[in-house]
Amino acid sequence: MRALLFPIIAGILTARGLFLVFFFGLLLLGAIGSALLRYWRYRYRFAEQELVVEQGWIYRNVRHISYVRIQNINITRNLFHRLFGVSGMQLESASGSEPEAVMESLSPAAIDELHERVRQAKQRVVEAPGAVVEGAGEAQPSTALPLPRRQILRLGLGELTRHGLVSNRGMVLVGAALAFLFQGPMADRYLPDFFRWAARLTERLPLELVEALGPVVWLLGALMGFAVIMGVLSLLSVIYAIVRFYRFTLSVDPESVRAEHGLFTRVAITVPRRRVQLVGYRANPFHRLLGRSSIRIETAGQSGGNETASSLRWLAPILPAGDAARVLREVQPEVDWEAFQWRPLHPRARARILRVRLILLGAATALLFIPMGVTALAALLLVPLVFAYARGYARYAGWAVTPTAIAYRSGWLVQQQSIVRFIKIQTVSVTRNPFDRRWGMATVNVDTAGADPGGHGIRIRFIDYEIACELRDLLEEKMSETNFIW
Amino acid sequence: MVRLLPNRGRRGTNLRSWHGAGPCCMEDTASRSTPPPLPSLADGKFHLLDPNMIPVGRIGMAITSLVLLGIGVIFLMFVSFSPGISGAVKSTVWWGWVALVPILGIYSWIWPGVSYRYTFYCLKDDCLIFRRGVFWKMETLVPKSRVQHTDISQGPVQRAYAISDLIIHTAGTRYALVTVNGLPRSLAPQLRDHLLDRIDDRTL
Repeated sequence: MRALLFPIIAGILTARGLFLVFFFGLLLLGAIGSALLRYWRYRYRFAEQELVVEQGWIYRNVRHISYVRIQNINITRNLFHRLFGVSGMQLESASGSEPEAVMESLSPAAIDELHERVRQAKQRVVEAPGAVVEGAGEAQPSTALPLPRRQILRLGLGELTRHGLVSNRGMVLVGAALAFLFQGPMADRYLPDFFRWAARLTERLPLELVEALGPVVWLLGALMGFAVIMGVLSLLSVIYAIVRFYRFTLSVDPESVRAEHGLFTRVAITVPRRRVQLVGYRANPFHRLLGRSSIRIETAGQSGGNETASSLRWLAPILPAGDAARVLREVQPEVDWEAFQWRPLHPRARARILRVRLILLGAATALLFIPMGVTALAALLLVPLVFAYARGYARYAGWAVTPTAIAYRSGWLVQQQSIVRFIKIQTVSVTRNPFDRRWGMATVNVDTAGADPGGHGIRIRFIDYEIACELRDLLEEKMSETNFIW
Repeated sequence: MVRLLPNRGRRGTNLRSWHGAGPCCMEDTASRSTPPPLPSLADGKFHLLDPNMIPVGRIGMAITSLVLLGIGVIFLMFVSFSPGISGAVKSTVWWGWVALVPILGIYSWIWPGVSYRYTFYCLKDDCLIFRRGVFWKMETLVPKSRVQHTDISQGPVQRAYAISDLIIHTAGTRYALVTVNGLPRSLAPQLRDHLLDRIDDRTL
């Protein structure tokens, strides 16, 4: 609402001509009107087990928030609040990034009552017989004694060098350098000089030499240039890896996982184990060549996927593939890391992937044919690649269910796995588009908290529809056995 | 106009009247056997929403269509008064707008009825399943234990037809909201009360 108001007012102030002022004025009235309609009536009451917030007059909304689910109660008191002896309150539960309830003025007695009810409700959950609650001991703060901490992974310079080579983040540094060059204070002074120098260099190349050497030497030269550039990029990438992950150690205590790393800026991040929502495992071809892989985690409370300094994302940026199971067993002992029995996708998944890609490739070729002519047929050289992709994808992709978790893996060159414990699943959905129905397939989505929107999650595509229904029923049963509390 | 508002004022009618066995699975009804109906609300069967959803949907889509056509009119004005645009283009745009009127009208009339027939909810003891989609089908399962909080919301048109939306919030990311839109007004709170995780109920 506020976000809308500002541009409208700015529009009024900067508009030229009576018509535009009128137009923006109308918008302003509309915005204020809709806000009034939406927030005209706002009342709350404390019900037995939940807070009830009623809101709106024309558009009415009644919200029920269980006291058990309330995570944070934030109190703010500005000048007006203090004048009238009330407080503003924002109430947060686990869903979404916005507060679930915002109350502008609340008496101290009401706030005390809310605190008390939340406390009592959480108490009841802990005491309830037979309730499976993870992290039930969360309520009492940790005692003064530090818990025994064990180091489970340490990355030396050798591993970090491999990480640099494998991840190829050199472009990041080049990009940063370019941005600095073009935007920094030096840009105005040195950039024109640089271009003048480059122009002079090309002028000086002796034309006779160019003709004498012939195409082979030029090709060799170009290859060498490419190799040099790749070498420099790799070197930069290694430097980046070392600066960022220098002396990377991963340690566990009974309740949390801690990672420490960094050359100049030492970072130590501790995550309670029960906050881990998803474990991801990833290996690109270079990883596999060197017998390595990487492990990442998604934790609750970092939704949006933006990596802040305080969130732990990499459990291990690189580690020997053989160590992965050991590290994962330390972090999530509840999961049988060796017992995955991978089940394949629909038997015709490969045929479907192949057909779709071939049709797309054909369409692209046809489109390119209009401007380019016969040259466009070169795109058909990609056909073997398409075959390799479909074959590789269908062969690797699959899913597995263990007594405590569900796992999904996919990818062709970059192979990824995601593992989610049943207790951390929020919703399960089965989607089918018209093509899915034609092929008798479906997609099973498993939603978790704090999922990275672009990241690999449990999104099982091309699964047999009958099996998808069975999987859904199984997940329903498993989820109902557990209660999600973080 | 009579058929547009077929069930107006049906507020006090028996909710169970439309609770008959709706299609159970997305396609096959036979393969999935339903357990004998429980006496409670959570009978584990797939139910259609309130049929009043159809007129409400029609009104909503009509309003959207009118807004779209209004924007079209502004665009038409802009095109008509621009000197640089040839007469042929202008007349094409005009006829395009005219053609849009019946298309939007027919679509607004037919689509709510079609999508109504493909939307179901199912309440079980420990979860809710919501199923929708005519071409792109989607079925979402929310266990009771994952419900963070719930909203019941109602706009003016919905109020006139005595239906309301139940919105279930979970802690998830992509599917954090499950909106069951178009429940009979008196049923939505019952569903909500069933879904809200009441500790006492669970431990009994």
